[in-house]
Amino acid sequence: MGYVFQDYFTDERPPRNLIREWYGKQDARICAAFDGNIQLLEARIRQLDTDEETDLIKPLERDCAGLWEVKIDLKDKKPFRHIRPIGLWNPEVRIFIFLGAFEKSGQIKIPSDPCRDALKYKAHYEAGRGAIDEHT
Amino acid sequence: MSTLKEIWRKLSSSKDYRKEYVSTLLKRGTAMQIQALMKQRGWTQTKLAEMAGLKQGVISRASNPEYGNLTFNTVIDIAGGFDVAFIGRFVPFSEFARYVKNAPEELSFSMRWFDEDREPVEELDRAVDAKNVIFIKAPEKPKSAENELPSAQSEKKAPQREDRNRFSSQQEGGLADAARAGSSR
Repeated sequence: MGYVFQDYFTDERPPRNLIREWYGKQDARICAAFDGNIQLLEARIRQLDTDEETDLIKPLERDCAGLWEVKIDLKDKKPFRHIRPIGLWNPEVRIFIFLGAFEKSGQIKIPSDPCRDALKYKAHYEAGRGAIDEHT
Repeated sequence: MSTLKEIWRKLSSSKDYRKEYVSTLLKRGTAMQIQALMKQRGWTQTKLAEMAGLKQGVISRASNPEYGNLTFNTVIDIAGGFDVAFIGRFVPFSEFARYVKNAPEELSFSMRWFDEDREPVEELDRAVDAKNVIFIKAPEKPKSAENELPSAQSEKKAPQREDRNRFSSQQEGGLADAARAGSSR
């Protein structure tokens, strides 16, 4: 089985790595929680039976419909933080392609419209534009 | 998949990062293992609570990745309920980095019960016995060669270590290449 998590590189010059751009702006707590969670999910998903479904990755609705999210809630100490890496999920081949991420605080999202860009690049990817490579 | 060098670079970024990463892997990883083991055995929270001698509410919190306030006593009771071991120990970050790198293969979300574990232990015993036979046969060599045995052994072992290193680096490169090839679409 190949690697579950993949980064998307846009076809701009130079190419943008959407999840890396978001990651680069985060503090140590968020970066570590993100890295640790992705590592755990990679391990968990790779060990699922071939016909076993996972609820670790959830579909988004309304203005984010068509995208999927990984839910990472840091609630073991205050301030609580809620981060949501988003992207494309193909359950058949078990590949998640990162198209960005946002932080959620009640109804507020940071950045404010995270799905707009993600949906734009989803369309690019589906049209064969850009490239993906394993997430590191 | 991050290489050991990349993991080390991230761990070197700050003490806060290191602490949080350990926290994530331990707390969330333990909760995810509990969930997965219950699923593997077809157990409900109530069943695990019964097996572990705990209340269902404790199991509910223990299997929630966001909770993260488990005590050693609870974890040990849950391990007892599953009849598996739980190892908690301090390690240097070099060892932690290797663990992180190998986590996708080594972090187990399904495992044998104690009773099913007999066969691997017997295999291990057989391997040890076989090693002892070789050890007993060794003194049959001519007396002149006996004095050379330690250096002969170390000369023999050195290439094996090199081979193993070469194999793992080739394997690492091979996997990365395979993943790249598989992901280029």
